[in-house]
Amino acid sequence: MKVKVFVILFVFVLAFPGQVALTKKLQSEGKNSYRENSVSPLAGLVTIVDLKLIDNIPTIIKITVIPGRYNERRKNAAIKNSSNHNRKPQLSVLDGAGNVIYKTEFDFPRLITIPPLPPEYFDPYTPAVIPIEEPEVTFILPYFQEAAFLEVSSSDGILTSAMPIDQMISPFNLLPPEPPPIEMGKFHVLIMASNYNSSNMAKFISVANSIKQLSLTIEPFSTFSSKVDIHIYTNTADLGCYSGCSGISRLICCDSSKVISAAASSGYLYDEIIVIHNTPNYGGGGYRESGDSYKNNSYNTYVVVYGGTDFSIDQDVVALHEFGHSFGNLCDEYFFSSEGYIYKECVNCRANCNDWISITTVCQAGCDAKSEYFRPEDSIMIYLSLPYYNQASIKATYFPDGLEKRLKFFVKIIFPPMNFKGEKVLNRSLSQAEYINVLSWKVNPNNENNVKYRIYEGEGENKTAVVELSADTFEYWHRRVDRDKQYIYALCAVNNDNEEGEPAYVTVQ
Amino acid sequence: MRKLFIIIVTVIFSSGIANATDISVELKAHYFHPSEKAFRDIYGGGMMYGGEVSIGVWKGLEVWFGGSYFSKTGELTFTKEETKLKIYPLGGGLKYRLSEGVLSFYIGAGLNYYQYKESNPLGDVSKCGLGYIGKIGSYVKVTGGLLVDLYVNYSYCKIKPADFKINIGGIEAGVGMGYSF
Repeated sequence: MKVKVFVILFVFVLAFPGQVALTKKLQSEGKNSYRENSVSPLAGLVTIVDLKLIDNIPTIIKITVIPGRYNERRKNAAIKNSSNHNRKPQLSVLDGAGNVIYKTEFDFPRLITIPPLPPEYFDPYTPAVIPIEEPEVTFILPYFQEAAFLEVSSSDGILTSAMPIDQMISPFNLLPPEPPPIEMGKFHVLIMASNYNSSNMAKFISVANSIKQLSLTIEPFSTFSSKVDIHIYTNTADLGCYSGCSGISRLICCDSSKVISAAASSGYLYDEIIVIHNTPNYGGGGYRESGDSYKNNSYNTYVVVYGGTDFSIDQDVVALHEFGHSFGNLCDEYFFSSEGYIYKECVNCRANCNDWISITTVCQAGCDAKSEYFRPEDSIMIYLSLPYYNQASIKATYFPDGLEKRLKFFVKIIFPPMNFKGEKVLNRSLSQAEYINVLSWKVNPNNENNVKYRIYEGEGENKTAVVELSADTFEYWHRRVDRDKQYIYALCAVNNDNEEGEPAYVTVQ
Repeated sequence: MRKLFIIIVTVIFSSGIANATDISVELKAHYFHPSEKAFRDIYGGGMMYGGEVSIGVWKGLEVWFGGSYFSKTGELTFTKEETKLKIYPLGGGLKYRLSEGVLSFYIGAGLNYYQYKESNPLGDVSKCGLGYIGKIGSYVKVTGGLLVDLYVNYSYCKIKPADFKINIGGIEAGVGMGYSF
């Protein structure tokens, strides 16, 4: 490992001696400081970075700057959501003085999943999932005019790759795309066309709409349907998609760099991508991330699904099955006799059923991830004819997080506090008196980052702030209220981004 | 109140029969049990201290003047915040001794002028009001002019400090030590 790192650094020194010298000089002076907040990215442009894991060393392959939309949420999530479960490689943008102006953790997709066949076409020779020999990942970074070069360090903090950002690019010649309406507090899915043109784009839209419709009718997305935006992008750029990837006829692979670049330049916000590839042959694929990487860069692992009607299997169920892999990091639940791959932790295939005992008592032997592992009730992850995820896949709060927990990370739904009650009481001394509206409530256990509560008097637009209270407060006395007046109170939980949730109301007579 | 004072003084000095031997002075301490439930809930009962002067005017009839002091700390009914109360009743009236001897029973009645102060987080209130008082008791002659007064009083005074009325009177039971000239 050390020899490989040395070789890469040696090559880098030969290629970019000035930059390395500068980096070393600045690091030795302790100037390699993180000053992300002091530099603002240029809106309407993004930096696309292609990375490859060569001999287990994260290596930068290519950097391009294109018109596109950078999702600010990724910046906010970049470092603070890293879990201690496993350290990840880091990607840093540095300015000419060696200051880090942006950094993010990242990971490579390690597995690609192959869509199942109908039972009557049982194929015991094709695995359901295969490891990716040379994992690749493409990142969208904000574009900084001050950016001079990128650095990649491995999970143990060793600098493994660096590359200057070509300053010959004239970003001002690139026009930012017209931005569509944005709503940051939502989960955004981008459905993109591949290999369609204007003559058959209507077919793509039809398939995309059926995927959109099904997605919004199944849990957990149906519960949060008002917080899920599915965008349909009539892309005509080549995404490099093809059937027969890795010699498996029903596995469709795409050029990740092209997919991510096209998505970035679509102008849409997105957290996940579904590519519909125009081919009549049944197929698809889904990239599985590792662990909880979704918190940093969920969009890196996308889904591909065919646009035809082979085997009478609708594309929407295939898409949702693969989406379970890509977004939910779910394992296939069907039994396959010769796995031939390494198990990657998922919430629906476990060594024992105790993990989901509080969610479901169903415990079935056999799971494609590992034959001696167990799975909960049947779902779309075993039969495409069951268009729903099982409860463990939805509700799991254990690592690497179920679909609902993942979804909540994006939509940041802040639930109203529970059991909000109020009563008017008399508080008196012998000669003086006041009326107090005593308000009480209970914490909503669905809220994870609740840091305070706000109480308003009134409803809708006509409410006025009464007080702000810490998250460990569950009672408030609104003192010296009128004895004969009716009061309406709204109580909102507030998260650590100062976002307010839906209010709970109470009327005090 | 002013009227009451004038009446009492007029009675005393127009009677022409008052003399030094008819005057007694005493210091008193009694337990005050408020009539009003809210009073009891907020402050409870407590000791009241004061003094009284009685002047014989005719046979067993005496005029009395007295004052006392009540101070207590309590809690507001809901918030349990601290509240402080002070009551100063000043008054006078007539007493009639039913018997003479070592034990000398008496009954009496009069008017009290109540000065009332209460302070707490709700604010400070200072009020006054006129009430009445009934007395029953017995003097016990100890030796010479020294006497002990065992008594029970009932007082009543309604004041309206807010949009409600309160009775700051109640039952008092106590003992006085005095000297009769």
